[in-house]
Amino acid sequence: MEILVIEDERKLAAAIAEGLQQDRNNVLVAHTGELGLKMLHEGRFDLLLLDLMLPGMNGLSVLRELRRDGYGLPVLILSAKDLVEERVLGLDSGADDYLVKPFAFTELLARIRSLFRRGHPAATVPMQIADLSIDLNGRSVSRAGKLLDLTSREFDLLEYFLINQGSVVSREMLARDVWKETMRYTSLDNVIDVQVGRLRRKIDAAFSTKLLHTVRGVGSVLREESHE
Amino acid sequence: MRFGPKSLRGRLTLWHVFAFGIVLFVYIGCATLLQYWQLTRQLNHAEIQDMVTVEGLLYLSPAGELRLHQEYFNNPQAHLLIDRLLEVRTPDGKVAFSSDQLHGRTLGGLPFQGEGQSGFNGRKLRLGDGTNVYLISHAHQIQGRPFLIRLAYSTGPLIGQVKVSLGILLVVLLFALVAAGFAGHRFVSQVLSPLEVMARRTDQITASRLHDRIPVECPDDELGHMAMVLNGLLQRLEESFEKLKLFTSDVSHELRTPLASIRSVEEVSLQRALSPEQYQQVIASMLEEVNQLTNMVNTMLTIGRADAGQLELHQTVFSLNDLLKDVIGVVGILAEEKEQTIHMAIEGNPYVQADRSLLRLAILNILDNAIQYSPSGGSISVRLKYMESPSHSVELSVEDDGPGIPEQSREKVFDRFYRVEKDRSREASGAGLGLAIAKWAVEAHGGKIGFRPSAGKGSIFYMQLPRA
Repeated sequence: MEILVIEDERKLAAAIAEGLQQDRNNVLVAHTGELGLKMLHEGRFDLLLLDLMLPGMNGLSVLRELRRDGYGLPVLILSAKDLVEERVLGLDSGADDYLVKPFAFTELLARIRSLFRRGHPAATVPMQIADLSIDLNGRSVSRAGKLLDLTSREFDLLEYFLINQGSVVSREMLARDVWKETMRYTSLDNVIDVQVGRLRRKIDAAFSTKLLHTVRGVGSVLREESHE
Repeated sequence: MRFGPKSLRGRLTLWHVFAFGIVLFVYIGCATLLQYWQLTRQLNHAEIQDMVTVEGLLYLSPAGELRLHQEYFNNPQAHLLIDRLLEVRTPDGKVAFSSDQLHGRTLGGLPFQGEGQSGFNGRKLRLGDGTNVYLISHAHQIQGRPFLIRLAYSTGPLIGQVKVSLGILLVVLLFALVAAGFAGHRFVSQVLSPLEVMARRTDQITASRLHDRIPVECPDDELGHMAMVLNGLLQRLEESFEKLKLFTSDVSHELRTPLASIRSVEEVSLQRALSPEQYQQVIASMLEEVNQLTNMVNTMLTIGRADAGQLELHQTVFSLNDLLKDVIGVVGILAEEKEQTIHMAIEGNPYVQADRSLLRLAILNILDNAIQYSPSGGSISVRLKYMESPSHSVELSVEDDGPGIPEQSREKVFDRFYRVEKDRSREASGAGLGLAIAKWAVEAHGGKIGFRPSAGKGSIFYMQLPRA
């Protein structure tokens, strides 16, 4: 996938580019809005990551000009401004999503995936991994043919992990998408840790192949790994 | 735009002099009029007396001409009467006698309406050559023949006298005004001097010297009152500056701690080559600290916005029971982990009008607090009941099984960054902002938050909210 990053903070831009390249994308970086627009006119991109506070031409102007010129590519705004009005302004100006800095990189990856899922609804994720499978209609989970007893919250959690299988899921993402929280607070992190721990015990304890892994400091990931 | 001197002292002095001047001026005017009136009356009396004398001295000569007896001129006071103007006319208006002083002038023309008909008629008159006189007329019979006698004095000496005294009074007025100006200026300066002291002292008070106070000399007068009001303002300012200082130092402490650990972990690990696994460990531990910093900055941003009044309440009407169930559904798992039991005692189904997510956060923080401070295997009671006073409100209380709140912490429990157990790790108890946020959220909805000791050794935290 071809991604353009318009971000004046060089360290952050380099880190984002590096991370996206590891995720098998081609990434180009522009440090000013003017340069970014020029690159957009000359090249073909599938996605634009746009900072709002740029020297010279600001992000919103870039976005408006882009949309006026008829470019329809998905745009994800990255900004340290977190007020609701600012988000609304960004989205109203033609952005597809808005991510507040500082963000977890896993969250950025998840947002990008979700942007493309929106465009291609047919591409569904298989609702199973290794010998674990989930029945969304009956809300039941089984591993190696054995039915697992999960609470409703644990089921939602597993479903979310399955959708994002192979990718690291952060606490922020879980708080927002599974717990549907609008505010962040410390006790919720504890709740999430406990809940993920319980889910792990239920799906992994009795099996040699572990599926749910903790990535320290980042979050958790559901993937097939034989060793541990 | 205002005119006159800029200083209050100058303006007050000017007003003082102006008012004083007007009063004196009116006084002088009245005094002069009175003097004029009295002098005119005196003149009138003198003329009447003179008229009687003159009437006695007039006689008809054998030839039928009207004459004045010569002894009149022998009168030792004759020189006083030198200005007397005398004219006698017959009833048909012909001049029968004219004194020498008239030098051919006449005292008015033909008899005017009603002249000489009753007693002495007096009137002012201007002669042909411009001399102002005061004239009296009297009808009189001389040797059986009727005559109209007119007698007039020039009013010149009288006016001159009035002018002299008026001049003296005006000079006195000028001196009085100058004196009043000086005295007024001195007086106003004296009255205003405490104001200047206050201004100077206030000017010296800066953010670092907020403990200074303005001296109060007479607490009962207006200036003393003002000084006390200013002192009250300073007191409040000092208190909020103190709070701000404390908050800033707490914030920097809370931010420094994770920064310090990031820094030391990084420095130590850069001192020698590590295996990739070890590097992963280092980076992961740094990331944990960074996450914590991020959470804290976000929370402080929320508090800062709340303080600045920038946080809008998105109010809806909802059931408190539903919200409570929702909250317990989230944090209940933490109680389960500690094998604690949550007892619920719910009365009715009260609805409130509030910002759901804010109120949810408040309840979450209080419940989380209770779970943290209650021992493993303990029990927590959540009660929801209608209140009698204030009426139309509802109380939600959470009773914990913990050690209770020590005496010295009671006032500070809801303060920012305050932690009853200082040595608790930050991961376990957060930054000490939970209850501060809960307090703010409840108070923003016009509610009340507090705690009381429970029957056991724990505490009961309660929030009282108006019902929808």
